[in-house]
Amino acid sequence: MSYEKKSRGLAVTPILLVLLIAALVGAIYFMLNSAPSANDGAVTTTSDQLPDNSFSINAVRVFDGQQVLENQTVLVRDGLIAAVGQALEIPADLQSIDGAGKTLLPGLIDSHVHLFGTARQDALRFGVTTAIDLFSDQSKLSDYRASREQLGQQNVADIYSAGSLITAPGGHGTQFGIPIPTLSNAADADAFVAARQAEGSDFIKVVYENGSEYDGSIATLDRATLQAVLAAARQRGLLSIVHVSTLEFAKHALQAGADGLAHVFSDLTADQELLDLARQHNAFVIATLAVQASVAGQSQIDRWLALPAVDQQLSQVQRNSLSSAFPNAYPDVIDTALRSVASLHAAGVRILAGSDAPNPGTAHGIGLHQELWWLTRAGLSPQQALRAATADVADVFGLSDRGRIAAGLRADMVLVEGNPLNDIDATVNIAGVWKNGYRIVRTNQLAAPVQTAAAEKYAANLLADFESNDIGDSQSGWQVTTDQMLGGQSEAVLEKRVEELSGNNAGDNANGYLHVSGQIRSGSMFPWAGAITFVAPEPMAPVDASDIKVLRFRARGQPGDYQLMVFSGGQDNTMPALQQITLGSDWQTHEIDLNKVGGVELKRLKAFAWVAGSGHSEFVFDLDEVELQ
Amino acid sequence: MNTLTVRHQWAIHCQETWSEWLRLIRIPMFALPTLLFPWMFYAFFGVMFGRGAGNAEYLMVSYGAFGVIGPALFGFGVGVASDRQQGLLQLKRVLPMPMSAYFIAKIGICLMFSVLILLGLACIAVLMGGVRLELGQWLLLMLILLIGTLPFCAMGLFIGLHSNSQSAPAIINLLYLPMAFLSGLWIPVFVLPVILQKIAVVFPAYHLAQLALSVIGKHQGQPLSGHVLILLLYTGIFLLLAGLAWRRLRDR
Amino acid sequence: MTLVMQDYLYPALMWCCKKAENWTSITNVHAIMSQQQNLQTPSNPPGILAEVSGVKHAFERLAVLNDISLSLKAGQVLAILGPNGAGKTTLVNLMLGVYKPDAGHIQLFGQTPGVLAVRQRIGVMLQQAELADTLKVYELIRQFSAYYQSPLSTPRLLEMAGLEGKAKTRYGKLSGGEKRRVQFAIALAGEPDLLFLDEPTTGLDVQARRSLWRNIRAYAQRGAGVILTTHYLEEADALADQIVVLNQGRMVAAGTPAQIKQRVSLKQVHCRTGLPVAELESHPLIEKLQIETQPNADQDKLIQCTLLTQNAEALLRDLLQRDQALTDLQVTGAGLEEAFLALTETGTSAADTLTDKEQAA
Repeated sequence: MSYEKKSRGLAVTPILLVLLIAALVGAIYFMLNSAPSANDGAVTTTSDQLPDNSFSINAVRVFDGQQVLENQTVLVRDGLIAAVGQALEIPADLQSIDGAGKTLLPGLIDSHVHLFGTARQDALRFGVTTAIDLFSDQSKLSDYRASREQLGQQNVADIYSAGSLITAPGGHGTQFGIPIPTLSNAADADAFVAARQAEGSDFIKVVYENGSEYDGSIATLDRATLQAVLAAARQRGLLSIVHVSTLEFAKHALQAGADGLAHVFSDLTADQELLDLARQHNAFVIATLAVQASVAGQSQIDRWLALPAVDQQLSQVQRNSLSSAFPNAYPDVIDTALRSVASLHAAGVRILAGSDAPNPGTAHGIGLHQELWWLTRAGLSPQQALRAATADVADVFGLSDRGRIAAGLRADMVLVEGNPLNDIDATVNIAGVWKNGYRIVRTNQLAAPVQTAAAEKYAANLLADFESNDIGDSQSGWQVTTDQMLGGQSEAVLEKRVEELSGNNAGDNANGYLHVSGQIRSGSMFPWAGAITFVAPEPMAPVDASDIKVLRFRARGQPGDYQLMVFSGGQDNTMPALQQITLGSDWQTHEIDLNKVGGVELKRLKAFAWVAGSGHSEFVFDLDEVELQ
Repeated sequence: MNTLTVRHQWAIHCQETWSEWLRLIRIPMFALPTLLFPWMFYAFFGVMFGRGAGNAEYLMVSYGAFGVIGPALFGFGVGVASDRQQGLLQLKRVLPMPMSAYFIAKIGICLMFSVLILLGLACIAVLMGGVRLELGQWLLLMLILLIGTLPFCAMGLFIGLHSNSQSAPAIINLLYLPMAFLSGLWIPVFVLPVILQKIAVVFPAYHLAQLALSVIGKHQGQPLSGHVLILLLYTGIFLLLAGLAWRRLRDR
Repeated sequence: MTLVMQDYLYPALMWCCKKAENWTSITNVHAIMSQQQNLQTPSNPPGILAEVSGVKHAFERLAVLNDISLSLKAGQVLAILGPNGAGKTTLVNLMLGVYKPDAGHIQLFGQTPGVLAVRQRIGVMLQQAELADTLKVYELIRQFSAYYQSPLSTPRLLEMAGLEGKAKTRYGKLSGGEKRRVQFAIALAGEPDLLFLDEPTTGLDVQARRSLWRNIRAYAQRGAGVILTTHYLEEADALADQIVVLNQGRMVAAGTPAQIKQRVSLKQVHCRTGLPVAELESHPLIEKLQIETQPNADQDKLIQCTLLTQNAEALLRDLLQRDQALTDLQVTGAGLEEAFLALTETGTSAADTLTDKEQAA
């Protein structure tokens, strides 16, 4: 009886076992085939595009982030540098790239940028594989983190970011139209820093700037608050970078324990006290000479545009950014800055290369190459300048997986023709850029069509009647727009007002409208101030409004001519189309036939702005019932 | 009398786990290598000589996998083999102890050792290696590595039921150390020659390490479900084999 | 079938179940199964703790036990006496429910061995069960006491097993006798109604053995049943009310110690004799005849033989009288093994094989 039981119980098991083992073998086979394999890609590679992240570069000069090694072989496997050395045996399965006559650099790190638009692609095309962002939209921080931690193929530069910056109410950083939190006293400093840390800031940027260097006066953190912020950052283990413009403020910042300065100061040349302070605190200085040159009106853009290697790769956005200039030039700035950088460098203070792109006169990617050239003008050797854009940045920011060419590190690399260690201009003669071991495709931007996403179809809509919704509370609401974006000083204030109605509209006895008031000041080539609204929920996102014909709105104002600005098109900074509107002191309905406004691309409509222009000083106008039909 | 109350069951399981813990923690030959080797290896290869490239982070995870596999294989393999040989297993089977308590105790101490190993590694990583992860990442990593010990508990059980207390440590070492190396637990798998990288896919330790590495985004990029599936299949196969051996043990 | 499947999946089940509710459901399966078994078999008369009837068991086609029947009442000590390999440990394991008999019935407290309710009421000391070396005596006792619903207190158990003063010593540092005492203490932990002691004093010196006997006797006097196996007649005599003698898987004798002792107080006579085998076989004083060499036609006609007898003196006198050629005479006391051999009818014949069983089935 029991023997029978045993044999039947056992009979099931081998079958189950065989099934499980078969499944295991199948799963392992599947995994083998899905394994990132080193030789799969080699067969189908072309010189333009290597889908594979394993390869070797032979007989190449290597600047490893610190020193120069001649005639090296660099092995890359699965996105990481596997070995660097002379006469290494090259595994047969690796595709090999001839590096003779070329120089391999670590992927460049720009230590001062502000992300915007296509910055990450533009940077990478110029060999900037990592950028230190010193203020941009903090909601993207977790995306940046996830993106830079993975080892997969990507066509954008990695970002480490300060997120939102730390500034006083009305201080530098608040003028860009993006609402940001501000700090008004030392007591809140720790909580404020903690909030930045919680948002995911990798380090903090503090603005300590009263505008004195630029003939203005803007609100700034006081010295006690600065100290409290830096103390909080130190306690929380966050690196702190302070924006200053003057020698005096630079000293304050260093005394308060800043880890580094976001710019070299430009009012006075560094004196002994400052050099001592910087050395004592082992502080670093991001020189940002390129932007200082631009402030001085000496950005020497032609020098760069004349290089075909640069010209071909510049996107329209980069080109525009490079070609624009600050409204006022302060010619002394660059010489003072160069002298300070020279003496800081001579004193052994660590100088980092940062472009401060996309400020006028700079652009993402190319900006770092400009900066490298400017650093050599300040007396750094090409090798020292390159260190300031590679290993030194990695050291300062604790980026242990990049900034050098050494085994085990991420294969973020730039191969350039010639020898930038002799001639720093060679850095733009890029023969190849690898991000995570994947070679990126560098298309000729001059030949490339403007790439824009297909815009969403837009249907007729009431943009605003100012009855219920608040204004300016979100990015998609109504916002102030002024020439401060281009360095002007005009101002505007938006206010929702309610008018008591009498007579006819008995049931609807209140009527809300938008009240815009402000002042136009000179200081910009094209002064303006007024209100802007975006068509899409996201600011400046294009929508397909090809079915829309008419913009209708009611308006009244201080009698005179005003401008309606219509933003459209595929690029971020094309000039808006302008339509003159004349307002009187009584409400009047205006109908604008959008097809008749020159330069409006209805397929990619972005925003409308009602502004007062150069003919005004103080102005007032009201808007209501804005709709598209 | 026919059933034990849940409370009594709980008490038995706790008591059994505690006794097993006391028993093993007092055997220096077990406790010291199990705890110290992952810490020491990691401190040497991961932190002191392995600067840069997020190596400290990568190796913290891979030595974590190495660490937790140890107590699973040795605790179960050597433990069951010697319990069987000493007759302790036989005795416990005739006493009114639920057999579950025996296995739960073994799993329990395996987890306790694993937690100690992982905490130690984390301390070294944070204090010496400058590793910074988010709280969620720490917790997920811990969870994956702890649950990931189960296939190795099953392997250990299988070995323990098929060997004696003298041969079990040798067999386990023969399996454990080469598997750890070939699965990229000591040095990253992508540094190994391609042929070894392919062989690695066979080992369950490779799949555990890959799952854990996915938390810090440093896995090889194979589908995670595949890793989970293979670990489950290994668990199933070894449990089944252990079940057979268990039955044979009973009938003899 | 259900039972087999469940046993076989046991480790797997343990892995899968994480919640306490699941534990209960597993134990419920036990409970239901044991209830079913209770229904199938009539309950024993009151007072009978253990009942074994007609049990057969075989390993790998080799019969180990054949037709074993015994029963034990409360307050009795039963010794299963036999040489090594007689099947004593197998019988104990069958009674503990470790194996299921191929034929026959075993019941403890009227229930199938191995079910939880039975396991709660028995205490077990196995022949080869070493405890964890690194645990202290009190820790071991506490660990094993936890299994029972109302265990005896640790100090009480230390006292009952004669382990006073050893509570904090590690098991590995104890002497052999002390280790057996710890195992004994553990066997007593649940204050069992029935105590199984498999070779409790094997390997101990006389002093330690006698000392442990005292503790065993003391526990038996509390009214519990004790089943012990031993290969020392002296031990069976000292402890048991009843002795069952096993040899080669068969019960060769059963009775009180006095009866058994009387039956096995044999002497061995080795000699070479010219007497015919038939005459030896029919000799009233010879309990058993063992021929070592057959007569060789060419040389002498003597046969070498071993004779077992209760009365060596009378037998010798008679043989010397009948056979003048009697030579190489040697008389020794029979060992237990020889005594058992004498008690078996079949002597050295091969043990039953499964073939017989299959035919029977």
